[in-house]
Amino acid sequence: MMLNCKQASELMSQAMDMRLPFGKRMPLKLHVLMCSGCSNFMLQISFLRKASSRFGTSHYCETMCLSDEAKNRIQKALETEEAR
Amino acid sequence: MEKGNALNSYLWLEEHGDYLFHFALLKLKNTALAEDMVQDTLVSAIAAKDGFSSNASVRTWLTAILKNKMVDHWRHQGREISAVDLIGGADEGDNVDDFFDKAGRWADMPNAYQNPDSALENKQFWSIFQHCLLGLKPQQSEVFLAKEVHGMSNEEICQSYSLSLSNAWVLMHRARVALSKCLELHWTS
Repeated sequence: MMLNCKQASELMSQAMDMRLPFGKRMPLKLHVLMCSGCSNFMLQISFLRKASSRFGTSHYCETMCLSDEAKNRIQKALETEEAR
Repeated sequence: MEKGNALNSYLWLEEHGDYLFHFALLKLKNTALAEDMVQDTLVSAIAAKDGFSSNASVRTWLTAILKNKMVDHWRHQGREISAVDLIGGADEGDNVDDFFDKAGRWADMPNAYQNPDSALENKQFWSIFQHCLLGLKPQQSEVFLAKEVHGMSNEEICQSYSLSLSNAWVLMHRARVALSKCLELHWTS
């Protein structure tokens, strides 16, 4: 089975989340060995995973995480509700 | 998870607050409103603890309450929308074809990132990262955030977003391709 880059990138994306069956792993390995674009893509999505897991806990998450002020405010509301 | 522990509302904010916030923000595009929704959701959840079935995950349960809050909000604004609309359904289109030619080759070959590790310490990088995340199509960013930022399993994602496993693979692939390209274009260290 000869893969094109689109198919290879789909398999690389799946491989981030599950172990691919042997029949897909081998053609993927061959393709990535021969294709610098896809081997770069593999590095890119591993980096994305690293950055994303860091993002959730980092103080760099500004617009997309609850701010400390919001957290405090919500915490107070919860305490009030629990005390009722 | 044990029911007693699952229903400790002080843990909800810590463990699920950012997730619920993302969820609301991606739909509402308004920080203050999304914060209010999270607060409303958690306050209502305290009163609704009895309705929690220990078979469900706490996150799925809280997300269901949040969806209802958002539907109510839109109703108030006179927009007719159902909870089903909130979890996508409509195909957003295959933007992945922007990145490949007809033969399935990269339209632009991906390049290696320069000094990826130093990027993680760089404030500018993180604002680009958020910009790129927000630029994804809504379903793609939801699934990507759920998986990669919040560490949810495929099963939990399929359940929360009413997706088949193969839909989830497709969305993850599109999100990864689009994000990689966006970072490559905007992040030059």
